[in-house]
Amino acid sequence: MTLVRAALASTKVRILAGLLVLWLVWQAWLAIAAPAKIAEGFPERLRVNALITLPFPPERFHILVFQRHGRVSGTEGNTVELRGIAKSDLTAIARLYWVRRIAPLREGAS
Amino acid sequence: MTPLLKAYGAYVRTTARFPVLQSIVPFVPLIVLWAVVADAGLFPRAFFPGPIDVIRAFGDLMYKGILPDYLADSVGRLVVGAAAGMAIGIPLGLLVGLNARAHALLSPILLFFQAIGDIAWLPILIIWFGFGFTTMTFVIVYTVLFPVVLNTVLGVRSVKQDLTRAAQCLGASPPRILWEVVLPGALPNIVTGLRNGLGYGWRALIAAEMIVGTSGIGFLMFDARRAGSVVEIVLGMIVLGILWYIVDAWVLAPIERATGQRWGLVTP
Repeated sequence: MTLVRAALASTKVRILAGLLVLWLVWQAWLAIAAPAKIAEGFPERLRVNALITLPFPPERFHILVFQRHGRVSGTEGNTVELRGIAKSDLTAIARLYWVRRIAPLREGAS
Repeated sequence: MTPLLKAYGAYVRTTARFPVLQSIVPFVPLIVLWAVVADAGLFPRAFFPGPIDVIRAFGDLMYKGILPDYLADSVGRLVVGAAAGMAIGIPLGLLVGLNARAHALLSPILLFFQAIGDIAWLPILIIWFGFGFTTMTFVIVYTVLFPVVLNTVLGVRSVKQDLTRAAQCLGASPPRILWEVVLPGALPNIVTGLRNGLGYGWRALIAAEMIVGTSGIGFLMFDARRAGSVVEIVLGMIVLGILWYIVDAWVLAPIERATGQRWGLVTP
């Protein structure tokens, strides 16, 4: 306990601890806000197709991140079409702070 | 001289009250000089961006989620590599330091492999493991390993024989001597080795990310050259510097100091 107390007496350690707490709060907020980004109407299947909207046109980085969850079949403006996503992965995608909305992809959409 | 003395007095008082400022103030003239040179237009803006351009790029990469993701990847790799390097390096250092036969057998091998730089392993690692996490982790472990092993050996050998003999006289078993005498005595050197190893490992990681990475700060910088984005390269360099400064000066150095104060040997 003495070492912990000595560490917390340092301003630098307190700043780092404060940053860690802020980061944890931010992660908690992302987890709480994620379900609200997912629109209603996803079919009751194990794998679904989704239209993901970002606040900016997607770049290579974003496409590579989405490819961890499914197949990217196209982009248009700020939206990305992602197919074959495990339904349980929708929340993980919604937790990304740069994802604005996830809606079901209409059947027959290109 | 009076205004200068007054300004210096104010600086001393302020930094005494807020010691964190001591870390920031030395950079102020450097940033001012950088801004002046950039604004003077001596070089094209695309080749020599100013501080404001870098701040704007920082905001953009944060907004798009690229910088936090790459930063997390780099730090994660360093943590995994350093943990593995310590897990191998400390026991190996104890063995070499405590056992004369192991020392005679392993010292030439350690020296031989120490001479082969981490980057020299990359060609063969790419053939064996491809472009990915295993290759980068191997490079970091390799880089962290030698400073940890050699400093642990030094630490073990610097523990006074009198202390070991005193513990033996009091009936301590070999494992207890190792745990309560040798290891605490060697700890200041082990922490110094870890600090050096992490510094080398951090640099090796960035080099490895540039060559074999698909993410990370090194990859961000090397990928930026494709688009000719000097501002992202400069941003990557600044992020590397700031992150390492915080890790080394704010975390590792105090741990090293505290370890030295708690377990270091005071000699008159």
